[in-house]
Amino acid sequence: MNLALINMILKGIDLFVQLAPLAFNEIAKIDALRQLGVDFQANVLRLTDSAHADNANTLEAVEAWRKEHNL
Amino acid sequence: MTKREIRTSVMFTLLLCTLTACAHRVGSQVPVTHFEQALVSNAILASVNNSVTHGVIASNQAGVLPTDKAKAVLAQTERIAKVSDELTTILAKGPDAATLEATKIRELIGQVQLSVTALVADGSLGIKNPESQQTVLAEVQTIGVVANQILAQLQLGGVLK
Repeated sequence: MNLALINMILKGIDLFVQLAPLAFNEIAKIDALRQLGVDFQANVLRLTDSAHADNANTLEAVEAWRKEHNL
Repeated sequence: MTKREIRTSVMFTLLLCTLTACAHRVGSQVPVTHFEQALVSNAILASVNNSVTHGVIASNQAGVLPTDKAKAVLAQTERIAKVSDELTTILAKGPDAATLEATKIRELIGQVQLSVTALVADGSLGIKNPESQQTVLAEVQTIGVVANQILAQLQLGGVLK
């Protein structure tokens, strides 16, 4: 196993460590909200709103970068 | 894809499958559904794609990624964002409505996979700093893994047959 591969796997583990709490937190939020009486549809909206916001931010960032470079 | 990339992808798959497979509710009667897990994965996909986009822009601004390379990578992350947004709109309608658009969902996830393949096949991604390059590459591969998870979770939830 070469060094580049080891480094790549380590980066993957770093990413996992970053993402795992995100996934577990989301599952925990669904759990907590449901116990408080928040229904399934509200969870759907909350999670899809989050995805929409990230996608909008991505598109805005790319557009701003293109303008900056006159592309 | 080289053997090394395949091995790395397998590693990510194992790690991320653990991430969602182990994620379950404790202490309440109604389990988190497969559809809700798919929504969590969908939110992660959009978030990681956003992170890749900002990472690539920052690398370009720092002078470690040529503008032509950044342009090519950003074209793919932009495509992923548009496809992800379309997928999110379908998923927002709920599992029953999403079932009626199963073919479209498969097509959209396929488009995400094509973009990921294009980015990985590009090899180096063009970033001069090896550490930044590996971070961005790992994130790109994560997008592919998470897209597969959405597919699997929707299949388990009966949205996709």
